[in-house]
Amino acid sequence: MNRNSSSTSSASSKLNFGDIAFILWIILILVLVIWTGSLSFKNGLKTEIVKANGLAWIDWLSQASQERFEPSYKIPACAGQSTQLAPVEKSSSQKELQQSDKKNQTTWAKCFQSLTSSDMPLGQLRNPYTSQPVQFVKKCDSADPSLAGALVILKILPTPTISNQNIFKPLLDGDPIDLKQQLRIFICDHASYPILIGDLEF
Amino acid sequence: MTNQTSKPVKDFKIEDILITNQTAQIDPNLPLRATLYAWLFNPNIEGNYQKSFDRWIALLIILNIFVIFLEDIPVIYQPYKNFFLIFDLFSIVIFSIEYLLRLYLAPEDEEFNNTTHPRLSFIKSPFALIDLLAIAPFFLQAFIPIDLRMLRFLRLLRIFKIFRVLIPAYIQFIELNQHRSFRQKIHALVFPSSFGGKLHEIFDTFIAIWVIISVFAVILETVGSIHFTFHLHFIVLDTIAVAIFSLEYCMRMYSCVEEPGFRHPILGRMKHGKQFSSIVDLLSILPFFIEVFLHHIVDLRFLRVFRLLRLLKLTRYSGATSTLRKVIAREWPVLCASIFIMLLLVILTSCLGYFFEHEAQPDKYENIPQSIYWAVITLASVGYGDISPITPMGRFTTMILALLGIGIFAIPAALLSSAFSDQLHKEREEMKREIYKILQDDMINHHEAQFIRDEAKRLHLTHHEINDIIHEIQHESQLPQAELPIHQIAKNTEYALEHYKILLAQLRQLGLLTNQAEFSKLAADRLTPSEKALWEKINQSSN
Repeated sequence: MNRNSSSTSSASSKLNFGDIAFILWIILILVLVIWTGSLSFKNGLKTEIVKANGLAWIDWLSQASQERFEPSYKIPACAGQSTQLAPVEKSSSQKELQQSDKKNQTTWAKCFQSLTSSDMPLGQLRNPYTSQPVQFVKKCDSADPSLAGALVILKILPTPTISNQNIFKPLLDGDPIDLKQQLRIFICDHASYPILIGDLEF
Repeated sequence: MTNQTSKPVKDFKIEDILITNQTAQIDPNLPLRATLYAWLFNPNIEGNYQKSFDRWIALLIILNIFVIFLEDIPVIYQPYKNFFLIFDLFSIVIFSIEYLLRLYLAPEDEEFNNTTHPRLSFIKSPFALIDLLAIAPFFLQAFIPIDLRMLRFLRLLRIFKIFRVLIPAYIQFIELNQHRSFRQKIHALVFPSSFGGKLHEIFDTFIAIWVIISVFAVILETVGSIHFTFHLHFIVLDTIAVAIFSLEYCMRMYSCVEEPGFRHPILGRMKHGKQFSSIVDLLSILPFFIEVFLHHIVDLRFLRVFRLLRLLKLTRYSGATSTLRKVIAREWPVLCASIFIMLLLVILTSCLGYFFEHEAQPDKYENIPQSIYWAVITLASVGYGDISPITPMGRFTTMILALLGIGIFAIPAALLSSAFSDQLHKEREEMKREIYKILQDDMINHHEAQFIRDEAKRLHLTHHEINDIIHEIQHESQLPQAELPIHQIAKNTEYALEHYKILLAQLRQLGLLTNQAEFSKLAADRLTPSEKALWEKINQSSN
């Protein structure tokens, strides 16, 4: 215990100018902390909406992964190729076959367009930072604040070696989606840092 | 405490000083109600269970507050619903027992025993109403259907039970700080002083609890799944923590001018602001503001880690870090010398490693910086094995290096450890000197006893060691005066008088035993007239 600290001399117990200034300063600091905290909280709320967007995408894609390989699937742009391949005519050449396959191939761009059309549930989702429909980007970049609220979908590709490590590549517009694939979804937070939402099979 | 409560050292038992093995002196023939009150609720009896009882109840209140907030989080509440229910039941049982005990023992309480209906007065008292409000919702829901949200809100009323601890501490604080200025009161609250009382202890505990909570939150935030679920909760928690720490920082900066050595309104505050603890205080709140306002300009994620610096705030409450700081400051030249030798060895051996191994393994010993990595890992006896020599000379160098490493790397550790124990020894010696000073007047008051308690705690002195010091001093105080040095005797008037009488008796004895004729002959030449007159007077009186 510091026995010598603080004088014992009696001083005026009334508030002086310095005391009042200190109280005002304290109030100012508290207001500043609450204001800064509320800014953080508002950003946090927006991040929660973006997370909900990401979860909605995960839910929809996970659910679709079961149905999209059925012949009667209602969104043809996202339909997968049936595991039972159609019988191939012996007379047609290999080149013709490849060309017709490419024509019928569903790509991510076509699927994304049909999913985000205004009559689809995912089309209603909005980026809370821009109030625009949710945009997909290749990666979150903290140097680019305009990416806040965007979604990132990565393809999970197993490495050819025995190692457990995977390769992650962004899902591009031209990427075919007619086969089952593993995906990972991120969202970009208010400062455009990535937040992992989850992995799924689509 | 004043010197009015002082006791002579002889009468002061070591148990009184250290408050160990102290048992309450309660008459066993008292009736049950009076006995229960004396053991559980009487604040004026030292050694009873009143303080422990209050402490456990306060802990239960704090736990209840946490649990009430946690119940609002479905992810936590749903899987552990039963646990929350059991905890609630346990709390209600304890709080109900407490309430009933207080009601039963109200006639023994000084506050109510003067009234005609002590128990009724107790029921109407504000504290009892708070206690009742804390338990009433639980019993009410058995008879009246209450909405779950309403019930939770009513349970929040348990927070008010904390006033049972706060209000007496506040009253004591006001009494201690009567006629003191606002700044002096703030100082008494945040800095250790004799004016702080219980409220200062509560303030310190409150800050320590928030430090632990916020550090725990920062650690949990790094777990992705937890951060994902509780993102908003962490924001709220951090805002509250920063508000508390900012207030504390401002209060310290404002009132530091009451501390000795910081009296100047500007320079004193600047000096205080440059102290290690103040810098830690500032660093624990700055990241919050910087991250919110500047995150678009620079990548400030690393600042989140700085929030862990809040843990250093706890060093204010421990003497160990200040001892370590003193040790490093004292041993700095020697540490520098040993670091210099280490650096010399690392550079030389890495050059040798590069020289011997570069040709054989150009990918591993590519350059000298890479060889430095190998040398440090080998010297420190870590030996990852990612870079290892294959040439005979390289292997020989490694062997020498490994052997030297054991000794060289041990030097700073040994230096610090011996200096640390030496510093502790010095501080203990200093404390001994302080105790000697305190006990010089043969009296010890409660304030001094408190000082001894605090120092013993800080220096980790055992009961036995303190006992030895006190006994040494007690033994010294019981020595015959002749064995004491003259300056020790002179300090005590009673001893001085006794000593004077002894000297007179010795002079008389000398006069009787010596040859008077020869003494007078020699004295004529060697003694002054006044000395001669005094000798004759003493011997005349004895005759």
